[in-house]
Amino acid sequence: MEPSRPPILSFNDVSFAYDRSLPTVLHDVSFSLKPRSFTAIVGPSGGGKSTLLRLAIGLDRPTRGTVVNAARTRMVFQSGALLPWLTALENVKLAFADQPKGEAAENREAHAALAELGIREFADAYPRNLSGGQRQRVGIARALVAAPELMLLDEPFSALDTETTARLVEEVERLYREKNMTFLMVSHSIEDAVILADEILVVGNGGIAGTVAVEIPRPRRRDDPMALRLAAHAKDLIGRASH
Amino acid sequence: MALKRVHYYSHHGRHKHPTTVLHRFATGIVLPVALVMAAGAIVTTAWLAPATYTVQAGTLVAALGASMLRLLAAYALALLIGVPLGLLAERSRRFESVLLPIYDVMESLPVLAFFPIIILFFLDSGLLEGAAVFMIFFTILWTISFSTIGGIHQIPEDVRSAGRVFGLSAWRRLTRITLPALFPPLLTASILGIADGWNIVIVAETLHAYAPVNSHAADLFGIGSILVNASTNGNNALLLSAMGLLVVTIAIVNLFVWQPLLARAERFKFE
Repeated sequence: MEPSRPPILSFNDVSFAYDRSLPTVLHDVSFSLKPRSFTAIVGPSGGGKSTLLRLAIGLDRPTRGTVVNAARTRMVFQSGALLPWLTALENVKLAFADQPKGEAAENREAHAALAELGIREFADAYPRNLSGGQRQRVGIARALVAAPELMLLDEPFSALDTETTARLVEEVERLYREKNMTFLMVSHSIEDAVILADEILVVGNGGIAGTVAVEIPRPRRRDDPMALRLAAHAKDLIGRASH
Repeated sequence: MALKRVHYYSHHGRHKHPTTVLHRFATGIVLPVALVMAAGAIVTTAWLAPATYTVQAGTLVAALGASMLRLLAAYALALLIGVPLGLLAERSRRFESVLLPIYDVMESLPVLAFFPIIILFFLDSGLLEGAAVFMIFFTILWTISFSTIGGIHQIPEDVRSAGRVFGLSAWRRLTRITLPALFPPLLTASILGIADGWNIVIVAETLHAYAPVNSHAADLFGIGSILVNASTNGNNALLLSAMGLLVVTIAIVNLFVWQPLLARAERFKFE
């Protein structure tokens, strides 16, 4: 029997408050991610979903408990977080800041990442000349180019229209199948979470209010009865976590 | 050339109007100069006297150059000190809570009220030029500092986080994210600050009006002191010539310096 590999990320009794004078956002949260898993975090607004990602990548530190993350981690932001004065290619190359590879190699790899996301011809375009979906693809290419072991997605589809979201969800699903990466995604859309994740963590009232295991074969369809049932179950958990 | 479509940018908000080079030249230089000169001529009932004008033209241009150098020196100092002051205040909530009230008070100080003391200080050090530069510097400084603070607040949280997530050092976050993001607000602050600076130049060069009687502080050579003294002595031809030169210069700077920079700043704005 193959020995189980250690988790790629683990939260151990983590509590967090933005300031000592402010109320605690998270209370004793514990969970871990298996390597090559896809986990989604859903829950009511203000429930601490994005805080979990910020803690996971070290942007914030827990006020109590520990976060263990030894994986090379990258993050895709809600807005794309592109710098408007840099071209798509230059934005992607920002990802080499902590591991410079030289101009030629960085150009080659950045072009390859843009090509992988289907936007190679927009390499020299500035963000203002890209659609919302294209910007988000640049954001994903920027995260991808560093070959991360753990990919964090913070509401990656929330600023996009339905059609663009559907295409980008397919793209993320393909990356999950093809790359040796673990995904942790915060989403306000239960449907997106059911399509993409193996496990859904419902966050509310400062903790994990429930988990939903998604054991539907991939690729998944939004109108699959099992997917609809699991989405309804997750929504029920969120409803209870909101009270 | 005249029909080439261009844009006129206003630093008040994000207005951008399609226009032509000819139109921009007419509204940006010819009309403002004509308006100011016409108003000046009517009020003073004086017209340019060609005989004295040719004699004084070289002096006027040199005086304008001297005033502009003072203004530029003060502006450069204000940028060098004002931006770090703004960055310092935004280092943390604690820094902000201590420094912001201090900056608020400093910004509100009527610097002209302290001019006699400033003159005395620089008189003692033998560098009267410093008094004028300091006055202009102090006026521009707070516009720059507060624009820096406001500009930092405009950087989206995601963008700030991205810099840290991608492992940019503090220095590279400053040079690759913060300073480029500050370009549009600092440009607006520069336009407003230099406009305020021109106001102070006029006063700061006329040292005799502010210095104690026994200090023997002579006026500084510049367009400001020429304007004030021409007015005091009733030399309306000189007054109008100096005014005209000043307005033409300000209009040219707007057209050929601020306009291209405002157009460039569009690329540095977050949507």
